[in-house]
Amino acid sequence: MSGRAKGAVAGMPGWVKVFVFAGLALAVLLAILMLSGHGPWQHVSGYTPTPQ
Amino acid sequence: MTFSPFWRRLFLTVHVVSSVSLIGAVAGFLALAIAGFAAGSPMSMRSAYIAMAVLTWDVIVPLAVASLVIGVMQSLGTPWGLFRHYWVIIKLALTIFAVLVLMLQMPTIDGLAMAALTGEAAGAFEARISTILHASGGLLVLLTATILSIYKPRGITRYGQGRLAGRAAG
Repeated sequence: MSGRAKGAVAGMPGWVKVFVFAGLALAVLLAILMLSGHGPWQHVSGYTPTPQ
Repeated sequence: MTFSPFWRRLFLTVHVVSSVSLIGAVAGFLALAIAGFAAGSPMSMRSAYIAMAVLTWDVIVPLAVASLVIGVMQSLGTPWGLFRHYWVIIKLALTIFAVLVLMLQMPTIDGLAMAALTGEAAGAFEARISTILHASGGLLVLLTATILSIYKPRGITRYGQGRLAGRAAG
């Protein structure tokens, strides 16, 4: 982490760090799910109702 | 640019009404998603998923866009600003995330409504679970944004500190 980023994180209140950590964790989780083929859009692409 | 007290109250009223209505609409969506999932008959399932699509297009999407746009305009016209306070930035990020996920969910919601019309919704298990999970997550995100805007936790960004220092000097 660069000095500037470290300074920005150090200046954040504790509750903001919780949100940033949760956001990063969610981003990593979504990336893993998408790479493994279980993420968003997967169920949509495989689902096409039969036209009548 | 700072709004006059009249415009400030007007924007605040519209923002609060659109945001709180959005939470109610998403709660209604969740109820329909659960009703559709647990439906005992094709007729109940059809009713739930068609109502869900109508509710999403006619109520949730307009309210979500209004809440986001008016929230941004309101922040720019008041001393809170858009990037001065951490709670405003996080609320903005949460709202943008919720709107993006909503847009990505639209094909699934439309697909379920179409499948309900043709009597094939029962086979779309993943899509039916997905609507319940996304509505629950969306409700949680919107409630968090509401709590942030009520409590307004402390914390000024570097940009906000610079603006405050500039105002004090000038």
